[in-house]
Amino acid sequence: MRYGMVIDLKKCVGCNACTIACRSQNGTPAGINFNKTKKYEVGRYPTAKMKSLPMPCMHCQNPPCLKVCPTFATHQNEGGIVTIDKEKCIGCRACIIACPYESRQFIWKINNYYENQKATPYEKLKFRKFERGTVAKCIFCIDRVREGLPPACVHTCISEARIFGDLDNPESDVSRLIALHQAAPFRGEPGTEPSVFYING
Amino acid sequence: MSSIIHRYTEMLSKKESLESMPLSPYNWSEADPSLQGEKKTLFGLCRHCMQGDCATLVHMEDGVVTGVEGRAGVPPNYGTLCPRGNSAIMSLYNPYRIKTPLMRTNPEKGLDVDPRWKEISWEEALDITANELKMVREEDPRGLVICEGWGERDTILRIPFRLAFGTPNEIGSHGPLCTVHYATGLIHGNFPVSIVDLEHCEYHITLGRSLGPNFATTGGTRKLTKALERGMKLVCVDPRCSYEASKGEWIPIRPGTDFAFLLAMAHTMLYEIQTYDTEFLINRTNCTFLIGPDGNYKRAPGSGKPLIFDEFTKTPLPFDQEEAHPSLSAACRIDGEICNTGFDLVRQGFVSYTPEWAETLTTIPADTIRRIAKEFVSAAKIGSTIEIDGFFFPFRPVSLNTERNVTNHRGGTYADLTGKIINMLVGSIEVPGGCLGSGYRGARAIEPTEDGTMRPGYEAEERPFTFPPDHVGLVEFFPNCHTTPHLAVNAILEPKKYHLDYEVKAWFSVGGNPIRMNAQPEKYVEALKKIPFSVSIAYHMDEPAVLADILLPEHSFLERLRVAPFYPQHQSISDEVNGLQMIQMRQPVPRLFNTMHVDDIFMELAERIGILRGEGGLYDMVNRGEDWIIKDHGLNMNPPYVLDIHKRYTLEEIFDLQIKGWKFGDGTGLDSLNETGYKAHWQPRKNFYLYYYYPGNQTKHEFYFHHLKNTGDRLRNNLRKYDIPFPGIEDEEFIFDLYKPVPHWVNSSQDQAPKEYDLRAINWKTPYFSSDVGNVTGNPWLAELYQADPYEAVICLNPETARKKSLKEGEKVTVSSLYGKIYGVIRVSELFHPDTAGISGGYGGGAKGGSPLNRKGPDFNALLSIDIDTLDAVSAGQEMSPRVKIEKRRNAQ
Amino acid sequence: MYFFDWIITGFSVLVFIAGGLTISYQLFYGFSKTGLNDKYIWGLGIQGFFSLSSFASGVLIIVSSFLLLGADYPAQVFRLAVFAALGLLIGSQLLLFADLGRPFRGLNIFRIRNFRSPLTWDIISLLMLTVLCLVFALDLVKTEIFLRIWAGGSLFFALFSLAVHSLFFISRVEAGFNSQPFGGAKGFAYSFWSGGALLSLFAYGDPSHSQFMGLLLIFTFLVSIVSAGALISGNLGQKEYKDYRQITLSFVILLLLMGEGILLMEVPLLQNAIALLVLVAVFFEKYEMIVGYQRKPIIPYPYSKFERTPPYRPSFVEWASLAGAVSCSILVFYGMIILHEYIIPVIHDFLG
Repeated sequence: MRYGMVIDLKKCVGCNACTIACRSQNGTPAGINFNKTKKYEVGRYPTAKMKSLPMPCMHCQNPPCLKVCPTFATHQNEGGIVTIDKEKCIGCRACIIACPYESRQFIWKINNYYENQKATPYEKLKFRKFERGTVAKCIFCIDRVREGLPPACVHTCISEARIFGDLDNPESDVSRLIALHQAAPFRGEPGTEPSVFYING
Repeated sequence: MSSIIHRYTEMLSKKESLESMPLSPYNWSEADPSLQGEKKTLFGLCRHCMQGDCATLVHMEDGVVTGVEGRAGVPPNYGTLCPRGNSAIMSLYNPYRIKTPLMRTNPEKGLDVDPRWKEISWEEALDITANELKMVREEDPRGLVICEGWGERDTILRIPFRLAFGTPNEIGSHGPLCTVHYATGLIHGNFPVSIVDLEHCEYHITLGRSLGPNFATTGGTRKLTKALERGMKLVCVDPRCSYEASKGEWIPIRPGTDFAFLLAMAHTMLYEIQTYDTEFLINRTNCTFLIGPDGNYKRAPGSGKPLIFDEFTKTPLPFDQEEAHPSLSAACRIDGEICNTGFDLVRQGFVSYTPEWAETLTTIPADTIRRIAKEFVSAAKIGSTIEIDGFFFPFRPVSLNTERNVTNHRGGTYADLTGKIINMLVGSIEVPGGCLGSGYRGARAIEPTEDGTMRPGYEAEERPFTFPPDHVGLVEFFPNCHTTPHLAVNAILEPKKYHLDYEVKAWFSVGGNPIRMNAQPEKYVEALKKIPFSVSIAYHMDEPAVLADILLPEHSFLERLRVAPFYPQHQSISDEVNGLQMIQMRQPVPRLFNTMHVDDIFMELAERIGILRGEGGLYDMVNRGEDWIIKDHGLNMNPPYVLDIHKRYTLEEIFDLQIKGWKFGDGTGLDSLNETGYKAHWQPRKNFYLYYYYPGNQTKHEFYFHHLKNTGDRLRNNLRKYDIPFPGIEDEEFIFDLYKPVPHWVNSSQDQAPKEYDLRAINWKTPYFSSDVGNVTGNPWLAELYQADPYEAVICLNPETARKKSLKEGEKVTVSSLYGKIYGVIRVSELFHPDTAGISGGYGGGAKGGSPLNRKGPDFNALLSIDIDTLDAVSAGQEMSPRVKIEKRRNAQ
Repeated sequence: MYFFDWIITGFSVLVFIAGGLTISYQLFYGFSKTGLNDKYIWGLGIQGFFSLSSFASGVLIIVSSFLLLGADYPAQVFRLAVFAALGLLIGSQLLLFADLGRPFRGLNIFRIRNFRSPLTWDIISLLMLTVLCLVFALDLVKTEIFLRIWAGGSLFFALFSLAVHSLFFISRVEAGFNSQPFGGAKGFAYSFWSGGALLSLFAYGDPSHSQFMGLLLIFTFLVSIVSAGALISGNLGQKEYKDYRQITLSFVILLLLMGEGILLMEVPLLQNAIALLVLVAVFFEKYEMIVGYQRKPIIPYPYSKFERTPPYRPSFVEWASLAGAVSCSILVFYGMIILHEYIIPVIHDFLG
């Protein structure tokens, strides 16, 4: 069992529904986003194209962040999902330096959504999961996955560009799509073996 | 009651009370401890865009809303949800909401003037408002203007309230920047727009619009994705290369010249390709009708039926003569007058619009226009058929669709109609694969008149002329207009000039915000200051709210009970929702503040004014009303489930009756809907294609726009009859030039701009802002995204243009049109046509006490004009790409 | 101790009180007042930590190499050098802990011990070095064989600590010469350089001074060549490497040293000034490595085309912490001297 995701860049429209669904699911403080969408363009007028690259945590099988963590705060769960135990994190940030995908963020401060305003009831409830001075990252919505649901970003994707499943099972949608489109991870060179694959990257 | 009014006016005159908008942060009350540990899930219905039909689930924990997600497996979104929908929680927990009824105590009004709000009870607020409105009503009910908008589209009682009140003056603040309705009403008998059949379409040309990706609509985007995967070719004619354009072929075009492209494409089809769907043109259009020198149908003496020219007998015959073989192309002499077929007249009208001519205007190479026209015609598979649910349809898998950035220029209606001509030439109207209307999908939409042509629907149906004009929005002078806040503003400021014989005494905002969402905001502010009494059903402190005398706080959308019929979607149709008749509901979350449901406010006000019950009252109007868009398919009061007009109802009871009487329902009511959240009824898919209702030659679309010409003629006659000039315009031919039966090129209102205004500003909807609902610009989650988005809240320039103007990335500039100026920061991008200044979304604006986020970013709308001579004369649409100049801002902060 | 030393000591006490306060503020309240952001994860604190620990490693590598080879060594100079190394090690570790998001949880490193993490090894090696320095500084190394063992241990851990510093970035860079900012010859060269400079400072007035100046010249050559090599290979390859400031500085120092040697100018204190300049150069090099490296987008072009690069301006707290750590190093250094010169004799007298 190895959870993985396929993101079809031909379908992605860069709308960031994933980023906000993730925020709604995980209640990350302002400025902390588990998913990021790089928006960019290629080519020259008049043949230029608008592009996007949604980037959740790659949940590498060989995660550099896990290796540099001195306190095992970062660990691999069942199915290869990489998470951080906020109680163990000492805030050394070596993992952020080590991550080649910008997947991790340090919580300098728990910022409220509304600037210069107090925490809303939603924030009061959801921010319990976060602690200042620790590192946070995408958790592949491990709570949802344990209930058999796909991560929030996959569930919400308006163009069905994201597919979630078991990479070890050759019959799963993800494996089938990877084989069909020769999907490849983004920047796999450092030997990280990411679990997120891109089609038409 | 009068004592309250007295106290109120006294207070206004004394300017008592203190600074009412403390800058200290809002203190949220603690969640109810009894709800600790409670978890529940409600059925939701999104309202973070104008469509508002996505089914959601709203999760609550400890009395707090902790999540809103798409409801898996349920149409139309099948679990998916866009960024706005996902940010719904922040529109509930918004500290800038209006939390209790407020009354102004500072008589001075202004966007940055503190109204010195005083908190009052609901009783007081409703009494004061009702009394003011009652006085207006007694004097002249037309003195009340109700300004509606996307901000509040969950109400079912606004229209009945207006009708019971007796004012014609309801104005949509959102309309004139999106006048996309005339051609759809004329050709498809539908409202609001024409869509594409993405289940079958194989070649789609799209102009001035998005199929969904550009502003992230759930259904539209997925349908397009599937169509592209299937191999549909997408051609985007657009000054900007959006995500959508990046997925197909991008044809960059100079802003505001789409009409020239369309004319040239039609020219190529009519003069170079000359392959038509002749069967369609003869059977299903008025192409064959003979037109006299006066431009009208030549009619048979006696029966008055339009004549056609019979190919065999070489004689004019009534159009519905059995066995006749109408000629597409013919000229004959009847009663000494030379008559031509409609087809010939249209064809002749397009003779000079060569691709080379269009190239000089659009910058699109002539060869590209020719190629696209050829590809379009050959992809149309003229002559092919398809069987759907046992019914044989012509199969035309091509569609050309135009929307707001094509129609919102002078001549925009012509452009839209030219798009229809292009579709009609290949027969791709209302058949599978082709260009379809969205809205009411039933026989009524294309029912033929005695002339054999279908009756124009919705906004193509002209409004009657009265003089002096009844409507403050001057709809008498623009009989096919969409909403007209821009005209109302002119009329409010100068009633005499616009022939108005009454004054506006009260302004009632119900979700509309023309100050931010229209043009020349300072004029709107001036108009609102002029109106003696202003009340706003307000969700947050927006511009109309800060100018209001009384604020009636309403629920955020998650707190609103709602039961709504499903409207066919705006961008496209496919098997996902084809045939779907549905009602959906939203179970409200507990309210946070001292707010009320908008419809309860209407009932309370109507009760106090005395227009709730009895004949002609609000309940009577509810009984008599019919869904404006989907008519009998919608939620109406169908007997026996009607309201007793003498009783008082709760909103739940009204919904219950509506649901029980729903045409496609099973007779159960709200209770049963509460269990499932929605009720779906799947009709055969053939029902969606209007061809099905009147196949063959049973109904005809206008190819020669006879109706448009007649409307213009009648308007001209009425002006003569009352001996009045067209208001706000010097040369009335400027108006009537746009009422010709054959579209012709017209100069833009911007051609007169001085030379230094060398760019044209363009605007587009974005995933973070599609329409002004629930204050999405003040939503911190969305704001975080747009602030990180390279193309949002900046002034986008092509690198070549930037180089010529020696402007650099990140430089601070002023963008000015003839009507206003805004500030912004330059973004240099290859994705823009060199003549373009691209400004996204609806940022900027803002008012005292509102979310500071509302103030951020360039306010594109402030560059636009409300001057009548800049409008499209038919739809009253405003110019959406004004000429602008860009200058460096020195010493900018 | 000279009068001059007392002034420095007094000044360091003052700085340490102020810096110590900010460090303890940082220790107790975490990171609330830094100039760091999502782009600059590590800043002045880590730069200082790397600089101070690399100074210490450099010193210990030279000292232990001399000792290990059994060469005649200037005992007094080495004593001072080890005092300094001790101070630098303590200062650097203080800075490291102050730079943690959850400083007190830092102790978990010893409890949990992930031996795959470079940080664990970093802490272990620095701690070992600290213990070794303390043992030496307290004159607990009495026999020759014990001294050799001590020297072997110091050399190993000092080199090891330098090597560990190169491991942090490995996953983020591709293989190749100098593509790895913490790795390769450069980190070692700069450490040796600072060690040489410090030893030349401590040997001032000692007969061994010229030896250390010679050593410093060799290291300066080494640094200059390594930097120039990095520039050349960077320009030949695909990497953008434009660290002209470093190269200029190292060549200026090289010219100064050579000029001074060739012209035999015995300008008073010039040699000391050069040595201090070397320390500054090493500090700058660490800045380029840490802050300069992070300035580059992590995700390559064109994905990062529109990425904004916010500036990094160290906050007052960060500067004060650095000053606190540096003054702490100086205080430990002088503290050891005072201990040996004044306190231990008094104790000895007292005990009779």
